[in-house]
Amino acid sequence: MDHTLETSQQKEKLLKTIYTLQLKSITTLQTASPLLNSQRGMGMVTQHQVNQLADKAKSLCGDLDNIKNLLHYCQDDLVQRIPNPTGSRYGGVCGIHCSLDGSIYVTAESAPWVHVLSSTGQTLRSLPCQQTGKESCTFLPEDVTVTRTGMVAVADMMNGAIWVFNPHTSLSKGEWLKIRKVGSPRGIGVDSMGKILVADYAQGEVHRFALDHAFRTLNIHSVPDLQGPRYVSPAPNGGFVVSEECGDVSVFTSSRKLLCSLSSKYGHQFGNPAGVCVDVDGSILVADEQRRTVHLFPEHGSPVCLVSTGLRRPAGLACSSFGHLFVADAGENCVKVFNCPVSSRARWQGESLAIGDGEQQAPMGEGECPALPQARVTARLRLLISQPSRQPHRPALGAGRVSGEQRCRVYRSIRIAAMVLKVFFPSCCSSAESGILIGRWISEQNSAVILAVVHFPFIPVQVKQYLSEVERVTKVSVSVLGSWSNSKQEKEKSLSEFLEDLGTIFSHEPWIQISKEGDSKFWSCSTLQKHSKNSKEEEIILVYYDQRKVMLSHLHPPLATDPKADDASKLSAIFDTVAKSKILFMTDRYDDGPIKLTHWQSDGVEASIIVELMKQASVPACMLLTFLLSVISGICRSRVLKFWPLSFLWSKLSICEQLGHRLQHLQVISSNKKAQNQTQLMRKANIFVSLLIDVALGILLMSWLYRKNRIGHLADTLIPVADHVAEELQDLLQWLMGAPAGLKMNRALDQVLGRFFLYHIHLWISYIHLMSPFIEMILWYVGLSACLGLTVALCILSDIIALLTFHIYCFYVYGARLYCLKIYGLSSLWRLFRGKKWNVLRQRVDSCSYDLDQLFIGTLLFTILLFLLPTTALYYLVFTLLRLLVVIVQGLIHLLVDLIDSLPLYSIILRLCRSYRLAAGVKFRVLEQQDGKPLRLLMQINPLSYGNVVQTYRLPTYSCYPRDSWTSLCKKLFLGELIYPWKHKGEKQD
Amino acid sequence: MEERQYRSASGAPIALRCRQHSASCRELAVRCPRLQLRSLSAVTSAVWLAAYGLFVLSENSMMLSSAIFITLIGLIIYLHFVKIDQESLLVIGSLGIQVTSSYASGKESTTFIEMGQVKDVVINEAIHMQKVIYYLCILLQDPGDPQGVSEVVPLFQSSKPRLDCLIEVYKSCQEILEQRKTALQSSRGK
Repeated sequence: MDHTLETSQQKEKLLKTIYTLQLKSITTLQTASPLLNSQRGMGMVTQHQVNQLADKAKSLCGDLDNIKNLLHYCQDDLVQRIPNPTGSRYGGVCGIHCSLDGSIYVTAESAPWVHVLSSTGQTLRSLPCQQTGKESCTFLPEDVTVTRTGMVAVADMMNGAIWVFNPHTSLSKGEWLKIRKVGSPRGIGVDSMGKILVADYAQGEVHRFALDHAFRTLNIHSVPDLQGPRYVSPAPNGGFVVSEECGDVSVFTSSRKLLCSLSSKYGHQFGNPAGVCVDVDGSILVADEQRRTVHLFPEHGSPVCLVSTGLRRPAGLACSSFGHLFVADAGENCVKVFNCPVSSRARWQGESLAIGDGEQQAPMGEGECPALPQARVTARLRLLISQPSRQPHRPALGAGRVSGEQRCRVYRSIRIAAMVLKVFFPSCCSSAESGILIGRWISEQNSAVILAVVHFPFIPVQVKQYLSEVERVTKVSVSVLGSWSNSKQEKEKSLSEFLEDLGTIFSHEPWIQISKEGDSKFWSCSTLQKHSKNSKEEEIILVYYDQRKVMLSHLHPPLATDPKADDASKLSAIFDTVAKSKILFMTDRYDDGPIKLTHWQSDGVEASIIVELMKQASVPACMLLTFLLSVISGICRSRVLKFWPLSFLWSKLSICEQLGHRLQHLQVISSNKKAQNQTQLMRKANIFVSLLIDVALGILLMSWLYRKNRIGHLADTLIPVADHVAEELQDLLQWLMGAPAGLKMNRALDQVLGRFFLYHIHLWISYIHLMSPFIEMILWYVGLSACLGLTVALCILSDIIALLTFHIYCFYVYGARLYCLKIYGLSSLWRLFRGKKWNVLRQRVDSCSYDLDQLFIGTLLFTILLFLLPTTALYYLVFTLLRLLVVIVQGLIHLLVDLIDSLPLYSIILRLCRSYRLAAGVKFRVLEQQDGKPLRLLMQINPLSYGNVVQTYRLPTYSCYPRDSWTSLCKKLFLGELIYPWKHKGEKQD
Repeated sequence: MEERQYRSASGAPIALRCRQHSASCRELAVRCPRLQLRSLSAVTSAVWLAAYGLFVLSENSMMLSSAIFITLIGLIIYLHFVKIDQESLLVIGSLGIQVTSSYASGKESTTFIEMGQVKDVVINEAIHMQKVIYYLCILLQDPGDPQGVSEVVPLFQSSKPRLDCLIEVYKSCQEILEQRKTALQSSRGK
């Protein structure tokens, strides 16, 4: 396409003409429609003719839209080719995402990386898809997106998981977090509300869920019944667009209803739609893998083919806000950048609004912006056309808009409380002397949170000064809300008048007056509204709250920290207000300031000197600990320990895992960074307490072990026990070599197997006897490790069990391998009988014609295998049972370790002793009533239940068990595949 | 304050108590059927007889003591975690709805739902065992979607009152919710 001055001028002219045409037709219709619709006879015009006119106008509109689109976009405007940053080794590029700042995120088909490119194609960063800590645990991202908080999220189809890269972890590089398991996620996107969209390919679903700051998934919804959804992209109105394999592209609304499918709406035939995206002005772009094109589907008008040639296998698609279209071409293994100009609608959005208001004198001819709000004008035209027989133009349009606004207002006002005034009054102020009430007025809830009472005498200027100072420090808008009179004897008339006068000094709307007479429990409460026109008396509710408890408690679940939090919950606003004005309560009762306040005052912390000393001491202690930890982790990371046999050993010993876990805990505790929020603080405290308890239990165990030569006794019993086990095994083998349980085995094979295993046991016994002089010493040194914690000792125990039962493991492996071989042989020979074979390339069973001698040999082998199977199966069964026994014992030990590791002891103790600190919410108790007096409620803290405490604050563990379901375990056992108690390297951990 | 007798879905007598604290605050309490001495003694004697039978067979006195422990612990667990004495609903027009169930041992479990979250209170029907029963529930507002319902909180789950009682409760709840709506409308009219 040429962009010379001349053509562009021509283009402008054409656009101007189109616009004039549209505007003309609008004015014609506007003037014509009231005439046509007048009740007093239609002249010669029939309804049919009106409809015809409307149809013509509609088709004109469509044509204008099409021409506008064709004028606007240009075809095959290739700007740049960005080669795949991974190279060609790992397959072509497939997933692509363009963030708002123009950087591009690219994934390839089987490369464990996410590359971040600049808009010009330079590689800015490469994020290796590896779980930190466990080097070999990599995954292959299919598609990539960026969440609203700027974190990279990828879909991992192989493991069926969604990962998010969290750059703000304790590790400097950041780490990948598995946030959710999904069957087989293919495409991923983030919609306009910040929720994550995931296309589940095999299940045929699109999931949508939100992610909170602790990376938990909330509000999970799914759209079922899709045919192989592959790519998903957000639509501008809060909905989303999904492409189905060899099918259609569907558009969904924000409430997950099917809005339309593109093929039916535009009459377009897709080959195999792949990547989808939505550009700035709401047009949907679809890449077609089969037809090798990219089409643009504008909101109005027919589809435009943006890229028709030059693509080999387009996969992902992304649009930048700067007018570029990025196509991931998996066939040529590069990202192609095309020009995709931002349409005029987005460019002139601001102007269109301004002009839309003063539409009568629209400066259509003389303005320098020729393509005025076309879309808006066409929309309006359409509105007019669609209802030719209804009211004339003005009301039709106006009514629609007003009702929308009204609905909006109704919705907002429902969320605001009704016109009942709520006064939250601290119960500690009920005996305060007369004065004025200060606190925060929350107008949207129509409630007043009173924080303190200022006594007489005071100077109003000083009070105002003090309040502005408090407001500056606490960022809470504290003001004088009303007056408080506490008359001990009879009502003093002068005082009440004076209090009313105070309202003129401190102007607040409404002015709350609370008065207590004598020792009466029932206070009278009234409001003064100076500017109110309504004489109607408002209902007032007095809510008493315990200032200290409300200040110290934390509402659960923790609030989202975004500024819109105030509409989330009313009570949280009150909690927040009280907690923030902590500084107000710091003043002591002996402080002799210019103002006297009554509010909750702490009686001082018990043993505060000790606490202070500990605080002072903890800083150098933490520094020392950090230094030691860095040295230890440096040693651990050294290369000597990474060579093959050693690294293999480390990964199999549970003690190493546990030590690494504890090391991480210590690093968390000793880091001198201050905990940013409540969750992190609790996490630190929980880790600290669990570590302390663990070490205490370990030392207890040690003190028990090292007294009265218990180690020696243990060593003395250990060898005979191992011997005994070996003897029992020998007996078992002898029994198996005979006729076990009256079964008749294949004698020759039975003998061979039995001798083989017997020889193994013989080896084992000699090994044990070789070891026996050193056992006591080994136990003595190993026992020392209990001072590192009970969990470490338990892990060592588990490892010792694993080592001592190594022969059982060997038997199991031999048995399983033999059995497995036989099963596979039998199954393939069974296929041979039926004239079939397994096709490796296609992963399916094909029919095949065999020769006669092939069949003969096959039959022979089948018979032999079939008759030998019971013998092998018996050995396999016996040793598998033995193995399972050991695995169960080890599993129980690990469960115990996990329990100690993950139990949030600090939170539980807090819940037990200071139940108000962890609040699930509040509860109200209705206090005694008297007619004519306001309703009195007592607000109490509703503590979190223990189950919730554990659930919220549970510490994450390294769970290293393969989470097989029972059926898959049974299947594995039946087929003779090996089962492991530890994490299998090939499997990704859960 | 008034108390009226109704029947639960299973036919046991229950009492509905309604207290009007103020114009916009109302408390509705349903008292569940009391623990019957007959059933308690039947269960206890059954456990003890079984224990005695085992004792005669095995001649081990552990059986008898364990039977006593089982009965005691079972009773404590039943009274503290299972048996609900009273379920009450406190509707405060401008604040919210509070659902309290008090157990026979005196333990209370409370949930407070803010008015902003409450979308409506409705009567629903459900299939329970072999029959269809009605129950009252609170619909919670979905924060993302003004039309949607995020959760349904069933009320009076333990006492399961019949429809006539539910209608009574429903009407008094709706009165207060209506008040709130009219207040809203009048405030918008200004």
